[in-house]
Amino acid sequence: MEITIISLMWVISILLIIFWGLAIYIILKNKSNQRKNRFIEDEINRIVPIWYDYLILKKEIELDQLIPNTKLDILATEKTLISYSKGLTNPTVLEGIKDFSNCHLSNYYCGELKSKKWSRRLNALFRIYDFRIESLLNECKLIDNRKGCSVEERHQIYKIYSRLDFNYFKKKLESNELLLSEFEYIKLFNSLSEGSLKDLLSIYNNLNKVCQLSLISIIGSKHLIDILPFLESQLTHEDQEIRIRTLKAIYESGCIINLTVYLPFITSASWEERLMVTKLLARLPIESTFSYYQQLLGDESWWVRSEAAKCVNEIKYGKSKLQDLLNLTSDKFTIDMIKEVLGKEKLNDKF
Amino acid sequence: MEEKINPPLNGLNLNEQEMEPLFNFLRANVVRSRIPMTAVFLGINNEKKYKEENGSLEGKITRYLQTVIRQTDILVTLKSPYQWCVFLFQSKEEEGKAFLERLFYQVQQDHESLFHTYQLAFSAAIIEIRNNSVDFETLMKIGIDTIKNTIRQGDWKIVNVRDFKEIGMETIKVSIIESDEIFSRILEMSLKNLSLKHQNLEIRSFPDGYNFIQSDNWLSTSHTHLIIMNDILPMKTGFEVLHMLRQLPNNKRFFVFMMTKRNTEEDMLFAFEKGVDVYLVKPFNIHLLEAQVKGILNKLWK
Repeated sequence: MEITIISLMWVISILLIIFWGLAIYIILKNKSNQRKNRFIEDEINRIVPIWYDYLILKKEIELDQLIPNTKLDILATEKTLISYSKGLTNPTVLEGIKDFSNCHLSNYYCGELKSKKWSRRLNALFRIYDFRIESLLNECKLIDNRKGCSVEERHQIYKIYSRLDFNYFKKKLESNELLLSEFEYIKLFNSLSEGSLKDLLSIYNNLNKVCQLSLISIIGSKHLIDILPFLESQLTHEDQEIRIRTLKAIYESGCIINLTVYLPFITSASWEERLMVTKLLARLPIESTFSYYQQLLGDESWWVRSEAAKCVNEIKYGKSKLQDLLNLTSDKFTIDMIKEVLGKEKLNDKF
Repeated sequence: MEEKINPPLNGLNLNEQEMEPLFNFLRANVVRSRIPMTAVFLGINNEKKYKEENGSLEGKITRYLQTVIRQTDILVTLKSPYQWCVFLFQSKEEEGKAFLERLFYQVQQDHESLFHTYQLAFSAAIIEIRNNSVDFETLMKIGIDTIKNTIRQGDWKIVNVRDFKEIGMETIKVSIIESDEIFSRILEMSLKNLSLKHQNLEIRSFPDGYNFIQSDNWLSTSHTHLIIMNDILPMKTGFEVLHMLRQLPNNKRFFVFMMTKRNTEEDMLFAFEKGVDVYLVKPFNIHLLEAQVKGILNKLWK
């Protein structure tokens, strides 16, 4: 009995020692983190105005006061430069960050790329992209060719290629080594300049379908009007999804269309194509499109009918055209849709 | 026989004594509305000769002047004989000059008018008022002295007096609402470095929308207020802050700059419909922001 109590006492004592040990460790760790954060904060407060003078006011400064010596200095510099590079597009800012990072931060990020921790490697890849550290491009290629490279790392490496070695990026896309989702491709292409996007069209036929769809979408969202001939060439593509996406891109780009090219879509078997062409017709004067709208107002798809009525209603003199058609037509679908749109209008006016 | 129709009399015709309180009221309005007014002093040559010849001539000229001013102008008959002052509201010295040129041309072209009969000629002084440092008495003194000098220089002369054209310093409040503390400091430094002639910027930064909304004393003053904010903010989003601002009385004093990463046309349309004045897609060139701030501040004075 006595032995049991003594053993129990020992166990409790050991547990207490472990507990106190842990508590002291946590307190010390916390204090140390607080001290580090305070140091970083102070360092940021010191360097932000100096960076401002250097990057924006283009003042001659002693670069020594910006060169980081310790890891904490690097963290403070990193935070500062992220804010500058993500918020501003001034050429002097981007060039200044690029030159400085290639000289004074590349060694640190090279070390981080060799880390066993995935998060540290990925963080280094993000910074290489943000700060345009060209000197680490080869290290990035080595990681890309490594077997254990994760999808996230590879995605980030592709972004680096797109910014720092565009020809290599094109080759990689053509090789279809990296199969991304459409969302990821769009994210990748979104950061590209107008010129780079146009350049990508030269390899369009070698890209996989998801990549092609993403490229078409991004061209539309960036309003690249001079690429209209390329987009119109895709309207005869055998793949329906590509045709629909192209119509959507043409609509989003805000181009004025040549009616004859789009007329076949009014009678297309796909309601999505008819819907998109309905939206596109709204760019033209009602006099030249109303006969087609009449046809679309009686379409078998509710979405197409509804869009046609909405479009005509919003075009100049469209409302009176709808009113006239309402008095003339005997088509039940057309009558319902016009009444719905004009009725909604009245309700909106009331409130 | 065809009856001669007299042209209608426009504006108001007051004497100096009647004009003084009205001037004080209008001068205060110049600063508040940031729209200048211009006083045009008019005198005629050799007035002593006409005083002896025909006492009612001054009355006739006054009546004539009242037919050429606008409904919003005030014609003041000065104590000194054959001198008048026309107050043109919401008008700069350029408009004053245009008024005089029109008047001089009309008078010189009409060969049947009393100006032709008596060989009268005007001379004038234009004083644009953009600050409230001038009192009525000083204005009258400067105007009358200038017109006397101008008459000496010859007929149909116009002189500009620019003593009260200088705009007084105005305090403009600037709120930067941005969760990235470093970027917020960059914006603050950039605005502090702006060289502005007539405005003094009072800048405060807020880490989120809620803190900004809670800053009652900062928000409730009548100063012109530039708000430079992100659309995505902790606690209250940029659009929530915008909605609150546009509900406030006299909300036209707020100029809202929305910084965002959303760059589609729909996003921009939505923002402008909600009352955003300037839409800045991040990342942007800081000099673009500076130019837009300067542009808005320069346009404050009409």
